[in-house]
Amino acid sequence: MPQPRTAGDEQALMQALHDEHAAALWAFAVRLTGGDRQAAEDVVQETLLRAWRHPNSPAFSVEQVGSARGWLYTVARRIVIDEWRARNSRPERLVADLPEPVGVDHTDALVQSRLIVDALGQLSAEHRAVLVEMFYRRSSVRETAQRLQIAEGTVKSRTHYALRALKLALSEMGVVQ
Amino acid sequence: MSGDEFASAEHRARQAAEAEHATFAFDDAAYLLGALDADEQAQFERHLLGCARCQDALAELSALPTLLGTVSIGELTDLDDAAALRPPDTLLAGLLAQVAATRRHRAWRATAIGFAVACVLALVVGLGDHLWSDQHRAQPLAMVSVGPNHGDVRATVTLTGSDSAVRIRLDCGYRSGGSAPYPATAAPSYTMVVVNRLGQLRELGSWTAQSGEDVELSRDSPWSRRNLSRIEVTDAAGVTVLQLSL
Repeated sequence: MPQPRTAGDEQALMQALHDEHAAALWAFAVRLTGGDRQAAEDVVQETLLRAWRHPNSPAFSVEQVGSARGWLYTVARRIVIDEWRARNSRPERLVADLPEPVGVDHTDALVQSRLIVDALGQLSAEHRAVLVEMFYRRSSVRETAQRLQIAEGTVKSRTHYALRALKLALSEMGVVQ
Repeated sequence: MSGDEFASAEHRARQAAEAEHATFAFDDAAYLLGALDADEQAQFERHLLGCARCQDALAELSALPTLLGTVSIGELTDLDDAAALRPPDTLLAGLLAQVAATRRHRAWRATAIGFAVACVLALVVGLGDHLWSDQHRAQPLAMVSVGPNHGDVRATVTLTGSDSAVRIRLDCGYRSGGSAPYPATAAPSYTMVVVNRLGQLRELGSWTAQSGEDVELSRDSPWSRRNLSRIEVTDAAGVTVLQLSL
């Protein structure tokens, strides 16, 4: 039996879950639902309710915020998949606006990639900017320096520290060791 | 070369290596991301061959490009867009409403479960009582009129409680003006008597009948249900007027 909680505790617990995770879950859910904001809100609500009903779940992991996120993302993904299946089993419903059915491997990768987005979100804007330029835009150090209006040496040192910060964030989430 | 000279040479070599490493120390990440130009890349690779620290640093970071590759740049634009990360205001209100609703439901369910448990317990206890009560409990049993002159007295007996603790409720009505009216000055007096299997009697209470008024008398049986043989109502003279065999 769970410990009895007062009404105030219950509300405070939910408020804390919301404040800690709602923004990240919201961004994830919007992507999972293909931009359907109403569906995304339902997904986030259900995800946080499930966490709230299971006080022993990793959602309340104090030492590892990342494992909480991983659990919540997995729950959210599960909800979207179940909803998709439920709708899909009813042939009268149009499913054109729903995401493609996803296999287990793909969905696990989906959760992991979302954790990486989270980790990138933890970086400073300066660190994130050099990674976006050099990795995602395939810019060279020289091009990045020009774009961001900083010295090439600064680009190198920022990237050096940015990757280390990313590694730290990912290891805190349990994505890498 | 003397020992001192050797140590000094080693020291100088280490200083040179440190100096060279300092030149390349920040290049590891740009190299890993493929952002160095061709000249810089070649120089870094030459340095890398002899620098364990840079080799370790690269090994540390080597998993990151693959992981970064699982994310699209579109997902990162959200990170710089505060509005995109802000969930609708209705979310929190909805969550707190659900919490309150769940609490109410839980409280109701706890009550319902408690009630169900009580019912099951009562049933089990009841079964332990040899099922007799199912036939008698809470069902008024009409007493039989005996004797020629007391047809205006009617009563029912309701047995409740358990086998070992029987409660007897007697509802008795008296109506004057029947076949044998009593004078108003001589209102009849009655007594409830219980009899056990050994023929022993016990008076449980008396009352004076008022015409048109019902009397209710509830008493605990002095004997268990199994030892209870019959219940009687007697008049002031001790004559049985109503009787119920159990």
